[in-house]
Amino acid sequence: MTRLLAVPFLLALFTADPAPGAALASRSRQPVALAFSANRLYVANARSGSLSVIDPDTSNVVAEYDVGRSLADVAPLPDGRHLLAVDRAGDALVLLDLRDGDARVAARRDVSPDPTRVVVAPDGATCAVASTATRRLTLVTLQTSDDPPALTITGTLDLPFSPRAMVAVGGWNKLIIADAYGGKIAVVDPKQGTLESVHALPAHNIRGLALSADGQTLVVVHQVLRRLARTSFEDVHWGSLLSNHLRILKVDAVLSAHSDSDLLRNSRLLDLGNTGNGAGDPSAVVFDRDGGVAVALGGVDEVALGRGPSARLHPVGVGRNPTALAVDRDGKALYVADTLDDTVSVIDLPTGLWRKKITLGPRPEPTPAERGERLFFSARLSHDGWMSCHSCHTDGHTNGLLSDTLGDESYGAPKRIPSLLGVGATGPWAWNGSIERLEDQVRKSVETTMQGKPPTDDQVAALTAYLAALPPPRSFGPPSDDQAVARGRAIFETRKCAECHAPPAYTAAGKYDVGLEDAVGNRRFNPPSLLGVGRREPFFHDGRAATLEDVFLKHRHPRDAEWTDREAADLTAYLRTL
Amino acid sequence: MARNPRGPAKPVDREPAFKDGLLAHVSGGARLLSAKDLKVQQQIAGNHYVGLQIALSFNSEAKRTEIAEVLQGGPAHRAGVLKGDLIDEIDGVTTDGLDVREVVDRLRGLEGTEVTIRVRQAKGGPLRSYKIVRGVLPRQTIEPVRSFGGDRGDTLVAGPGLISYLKIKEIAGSTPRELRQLARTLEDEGAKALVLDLRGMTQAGLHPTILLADDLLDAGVIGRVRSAQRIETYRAEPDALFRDWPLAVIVDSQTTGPAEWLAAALQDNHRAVIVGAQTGAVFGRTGELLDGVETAVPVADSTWFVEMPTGRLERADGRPLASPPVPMGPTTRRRQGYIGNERREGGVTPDVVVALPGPRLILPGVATPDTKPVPVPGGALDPAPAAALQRLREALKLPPIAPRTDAADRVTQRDEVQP
Repeated sequence: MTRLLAVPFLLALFTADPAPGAALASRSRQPVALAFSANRLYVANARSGSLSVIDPDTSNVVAEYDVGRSLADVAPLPDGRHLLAVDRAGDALVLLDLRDGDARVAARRDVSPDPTRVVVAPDGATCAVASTATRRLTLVTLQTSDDPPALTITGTLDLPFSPRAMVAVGGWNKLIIADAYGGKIAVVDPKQGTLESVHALPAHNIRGLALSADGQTLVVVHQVLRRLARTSFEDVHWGSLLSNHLRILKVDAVLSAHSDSDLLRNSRLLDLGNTGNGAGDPSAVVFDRDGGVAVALGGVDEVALGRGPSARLHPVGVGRNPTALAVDRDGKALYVADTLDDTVSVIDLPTGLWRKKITLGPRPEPTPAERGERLFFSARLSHDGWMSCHSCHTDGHTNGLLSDTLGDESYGAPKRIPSLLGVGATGPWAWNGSIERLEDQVRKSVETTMQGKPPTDDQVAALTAYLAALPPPRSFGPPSDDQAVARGRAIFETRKCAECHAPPAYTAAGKYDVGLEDAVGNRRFNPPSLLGVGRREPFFHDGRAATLEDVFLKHRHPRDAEWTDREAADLTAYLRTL
Repeated sequence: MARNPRGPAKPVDREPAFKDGLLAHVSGGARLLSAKDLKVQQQIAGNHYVGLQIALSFNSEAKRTEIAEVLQGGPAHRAGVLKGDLIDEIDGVTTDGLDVREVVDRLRGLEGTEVTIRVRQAKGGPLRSYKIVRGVLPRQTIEPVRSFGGDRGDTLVAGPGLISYLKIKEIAGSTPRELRQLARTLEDEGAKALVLDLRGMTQAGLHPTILLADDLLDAGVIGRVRSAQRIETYRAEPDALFRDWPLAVIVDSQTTGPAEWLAAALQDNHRAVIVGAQTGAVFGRTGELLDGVETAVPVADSTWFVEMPTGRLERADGRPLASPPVPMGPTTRRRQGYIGNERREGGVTPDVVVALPGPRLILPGVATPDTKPVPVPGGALDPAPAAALQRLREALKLPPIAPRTDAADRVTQRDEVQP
């Protein structure tokens, strides 16, 4: 159904004639990626789906092109005359021709839904696109000299996690791909299109990878949520619960690792935050031309700069929620995408002094939901800026980890962090279903989990508006085995799963004892919504079921039910379509 | 039943009734705390105590609360308050007739809030007024030690260099973070091995000890806590500080409770060599549970809490950390100079046993003893650090320390030989 609606839109884009120099529309943009090509800076905007073009010499926005529905990434081709843009909501890779100072859409190719990143080979002949929600890598050859230029898919690779940050090493020898939510790291051979290894770092929210100039060191920025810590003031204050890090890895350790601990051979873990400034949500990392490092701290509106990855980093204030960085061609300036301010901040290198802020265009007054979005991604809501809501509820979803909060009125029974996608429709809230109003859960989370100052009524209303507007997770296209899905749907009906997991949100308002008990003795839980359940492992309040199949075969959900292998396979096939 | 018109009775009225009746019979001892007191206790345990950072006592001659200590660097210190000041007024209200508890109550408040006090020196002098902002003065719970002195002027030098030495004075909420920060400093200094001194640690918070163990162990079971309802097993997460560094942990008979449990965890996971004396041979009062885990149990709608042992510490394999206490005869007590009357067996047996000076007197209310090195009769170096350092030198494949004499005829042993 989604595809039908997309086609007329695609045609409109192909024929649209961008108008450079015309007055910029008043709209919300959300810059999320930056790339230099020739003497221009290209900014990919997630909310408007447009590409803003900045002249770094004058710091003016010289053009803006409507390229897609929501852009997630932009990468230049080495010939300096083409640009690739990733249209996340349009599920497509777009090739743009940069000619005579204009950017024109030259080709579009549908890729696996929810693409978020593109990495281009040094020879400019191929690229790889990571699709987060569909957990797939798409390899595409770029025939830019053809007329018309062509993007051809040469292969896809399924990954056992949702990919996002990626970096190519040894030219185009290997791709190192990081998990969007948890800590998994995959090594892929892009030429063969094969998965070589998958291991896990003790990390989550891996938001940036950067390769040193000599190709031997990989710097990763991520967060750590300690399972053994609690959301008490003590643990939050001393950074024992949620901490923010820069991890230095050896590339050959990553490429040759046989186990998770191999990844950490000769590595170093550095703290980005400290008491007083927790440096919440490291969102991007980049090396400058002299081996210095810059880390965008999305939650505290700062960029931390240092002479090298091991050096002490010094913060510089920038706009709201910086999530992308790019060093200019001379290495004299660092450009920062202030995602929720619709600006690009410029920092002087190597002095590290803030130089200026470039506004991408006029925008209307923010709606309550937009104000709520700013709060959701702001670590200033928490004590000392250690974490934002996004630190655990990554992009409104979940990082899949367990946290010991007072959500169940006690410490000692860490619970899986729930996804907030579609949360507006899945009341009552909390694992024990004790919260009747979303506003109350918001207040409780800010005060008792994030140990933040009590939020104002306005802030609570804004956050609630943002959460209520979060759509439920997308379901993706026709399933692979229609018959299994149909059988699964029938099983769902005959086994009366809908008593607790009732459509349309596949949840219910009550609390039920389904034979599960947590570490402090709670037995009655509010059933979570099953929308998007296929991509939310592990399962149950404490994550005891590693896969959807385990829920039935190992844990005999509910209440010691009997399931055959076939029934479990069919039912899970159906559940994965939700 | 008539309600007390003055509101709930103060704790000092309830305590005798409870103590005689209920609390005295709880195995391991129990205490009654108000919600306010518990909050303060949690602040202290979390190393985030909010206040003026002073210690108070009662001057019965002047009938005033006296400032017995002004902590250096704290808000009162910076304002100019002096030791020996008597508090006459708090926020415009006289302290006449108030006891220390009541004065403490009025001085406490939220971080960042102000209180105005009027004070005068006990020995005479003008009335002085101060407006102080309540703040935090975190204690340093880990101390890097650079050298050890013996009676004869021998010096054993630890860092900066290949082997670092950290004296852990207490395990509070800030300790895991302090260790993380020190790890980075020591790494930058080029250290490759570490000694952790856990001697004299009779008090350590269980929760921060769990986090500390997690920081030191790369996966593996830390230990267990057995309570009435269940056995909780604590497992370390992958990744650890000081990866690949040889570790030595020094313990003595006063290393008890969570600190002992930490040493056991490091020993059981073969992560550190344990040097020193058998732990937990300390002598407590009857009924005291030295391997007990205490919880603050809410009563009366969480306005009061009973703090009592609710669990026992166990090693990873389920062995209790210590055997039940064994009563000690009066002769033994007198000879050894202890005030307790029971002893325990068990605890952690060191891998490298070193004859350390006997256990000191345990006085109630005293936290950890002085961290200055214990002068050993005969003037030799404090044997435990010496043994630990030698062991780590072996692990790093360094030659053993060779004493040198310099012109002043002092024997100096330096750990600065680079491989």
